Amino acid sequence: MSTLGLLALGAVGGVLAASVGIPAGGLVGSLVAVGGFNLLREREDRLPDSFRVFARVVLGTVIGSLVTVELLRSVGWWSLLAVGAAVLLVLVGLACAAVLRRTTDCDRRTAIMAMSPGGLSEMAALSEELGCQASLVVAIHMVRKLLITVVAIVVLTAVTTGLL
Amino acid sequence: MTELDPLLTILAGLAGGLGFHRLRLPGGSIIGALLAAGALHLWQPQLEPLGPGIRTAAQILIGTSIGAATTRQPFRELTRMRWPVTWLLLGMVVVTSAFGAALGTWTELSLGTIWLATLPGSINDVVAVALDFEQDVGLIAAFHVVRQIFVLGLVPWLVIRATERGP
Repeated sequence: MSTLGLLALGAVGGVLAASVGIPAGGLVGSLVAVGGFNLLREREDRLPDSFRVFARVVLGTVIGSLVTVELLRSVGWWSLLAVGAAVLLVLVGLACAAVLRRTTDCDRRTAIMAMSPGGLSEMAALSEELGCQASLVVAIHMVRKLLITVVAIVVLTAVTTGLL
Repeated sequence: MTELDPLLTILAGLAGGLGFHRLRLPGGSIIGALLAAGALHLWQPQLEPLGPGIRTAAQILIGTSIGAATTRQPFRELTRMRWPVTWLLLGMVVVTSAFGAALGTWTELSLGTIWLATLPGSINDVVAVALDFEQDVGLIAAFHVVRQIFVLGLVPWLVIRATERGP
């Protein structure tokens, strides 16, 4: 299938998933649509490098546009704490990646990307660029998103209702 | 704000992303675009963040690219490694929760706010939970944005360093 055809299929899946409110719907919907199509016909394609670079640049631009003076003000003197928390999470991620690599046959690059606590879209894009198994990284990050959201809701509900 | 403002942000992002990509820095295309767009927005504070439509478009481009190269192999691997992955992710939650609890006792922030701020979850999902439970959404979102930018800047370099000795 041509790049344009795959892009059209991805757009349909992405827009559908985003419109029904699935988190990171654009990514998940297009991946499921195009990936599912490829699994059904049992072949894979490789889109042009320029296409993939453009996609990553657009994503980086979107994140960069969120950096505002208001954001820096709201973090204020908590910024050191925020950076400390980020450092801790990266270290915990690296430790988990080391265990994952030892307990499974996952390669080192994929294990680090899968256990790094970044955003789903950003980790997906970076994984592709760094030559990891991007589909596996996306799948593990989706499990992380789901698991942590469920844990957060359960714990906060237990605390607010006096169960914990 | 004018109609040209988003175009200005995109042009800055393109210049930064393509510039860093040409320098062959790990993760250069994302990080270059992020730095250029971020610098522009700090320099011109009247510029507004790009709308959710552009973010969805970027996600579709990336999802299509990954989907096109998808085979059955990663799903077989995830099935095989489901228990190590689940336990490791739960361990990650326990460690970060302990850190959040410690910060909650040392600072005047509410325990719920600092716990949600330090969880390794998705910014959109955690903020949605914070809204429901009436926590400090602005601070929580800021912590998660700092983490995502930090991870984006550091992890590609760590991956390259960690794999210099082999896969």
